[in-house]
Amino acid sequence: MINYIVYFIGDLSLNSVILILLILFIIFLLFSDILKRSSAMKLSKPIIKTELICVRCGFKYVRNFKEDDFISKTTGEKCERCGGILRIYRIYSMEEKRVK
Amino acid sequence: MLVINLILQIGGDEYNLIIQSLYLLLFLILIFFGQRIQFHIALIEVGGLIKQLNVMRTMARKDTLHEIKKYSERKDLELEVDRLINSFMIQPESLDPAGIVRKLEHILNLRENKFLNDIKKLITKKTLEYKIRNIGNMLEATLALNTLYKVLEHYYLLAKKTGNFYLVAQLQMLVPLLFNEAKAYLHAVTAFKFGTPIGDSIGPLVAYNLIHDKASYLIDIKKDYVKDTDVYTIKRNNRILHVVKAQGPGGNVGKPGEAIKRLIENRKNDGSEIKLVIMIDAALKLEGEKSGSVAEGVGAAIGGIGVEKFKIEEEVTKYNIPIIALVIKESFLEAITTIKKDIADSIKNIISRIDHIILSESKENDEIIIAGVGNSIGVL
Ligand SMILES: [Zn+2]
Repeated sequence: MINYIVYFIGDLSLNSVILILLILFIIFLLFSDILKRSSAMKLSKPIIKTELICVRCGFKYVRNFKEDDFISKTTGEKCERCGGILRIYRIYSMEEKRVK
Repeated sequence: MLVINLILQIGGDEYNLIIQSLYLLLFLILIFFGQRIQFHIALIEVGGLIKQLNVMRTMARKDTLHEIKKYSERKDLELEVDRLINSFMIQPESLDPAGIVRKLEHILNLRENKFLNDIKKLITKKTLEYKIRNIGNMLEATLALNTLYKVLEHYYLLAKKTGNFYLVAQLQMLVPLLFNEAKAYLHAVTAFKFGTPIGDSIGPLVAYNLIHDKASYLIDIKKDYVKDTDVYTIKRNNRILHVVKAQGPGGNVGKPGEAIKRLIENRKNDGSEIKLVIMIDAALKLEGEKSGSVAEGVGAAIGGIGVEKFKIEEEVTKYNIPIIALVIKESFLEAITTIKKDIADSIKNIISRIDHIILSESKENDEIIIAGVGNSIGVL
């Protein structure tokens, strides 16, 4: 087998070298294209943050979003500084994190 | 091996001849069958995307079904959900356009009510109203994704069946764009499930922040001023502001057009007058524009099919009231998924812009309407 290949390469004309290079080039293009496309199709998962404010002293807290959070909701959490009620005043998503 | 053996047995001249004829053959194949080859490559590519779309559609449906199952004990849930996902609305005939907005409004209201009522029938456990609305929004997004998939699949199968190269070429151009749209719908399903504010909620968010701002004094709250829409009356900068906002925290866009119309009429009847209307809404950005950037203009800034927009334009024209639009630029994906920090950060900027407009365009003690247009999900 290896003998054949060595022999074959040694005997190649310019024409066939070009042909082989061309085929390799096309295969490379195809693969890079597919790779690029599949990376664009990935879904990403956002990180959602909830910001709370203490109604009494105005101290602000940031934590991860929990289900059922909505703006103006008082969650029952207490301020660590003064024990006041915390109210949600901002919810937003941060830059996305790739999954899978 | 045999082929190589054969080739090796041939002398140099004949060998070159074979290569030459191979080139010629390739050339002829490309001339006569080039398009067919391209057709099949395109078909494979589009087919792959459509398969992915199908996966996304199934994911959205599964998510929605899972969410409804939390609140329902019905056995035929899957069947009913599929029925809702495949439901449709027929737009009124536009051949004779006189009075079409009224017809359209009727049909839209009908659809909205029926959709919500159908969902309420599905839910057997005691559930908060806003949760039901969020489920409704989830179903809408799933419906949109489902429709998108079905239409694309239709053209794909048609192209395959008829061997129409141009059909598949068009699909090849469109599908990546539509894929982004589908991705947005899938993300929207998640956002609606959690009940977080979305990019489109920027209008109600600005309204909320304006009402609860330190410089504003709340005078009056009218819940359900018109269906699903609240009006807050505040005093700010020595002007009376009527802030219109869809009712939250459920997913709901309310009827800002009807609310503005009624406000103008009611104030007129009470012997007062609305001097200015300011509308705040999210707008689709151009690819080069920055998310969360704010632009100012005139006219009714409101999306949708056009009923609410029509009402506002009719009313402000009737009484010759100036109308100013503030729009926040965002992409389609950003508009229907959890609000990005960049966009949420623009709220302060918008409020100072509103103050600026109020101070320069109106006099003290004037009455002004401020409408925060958009989906009020996650914002009470
Ligand atoms: Zn505190």
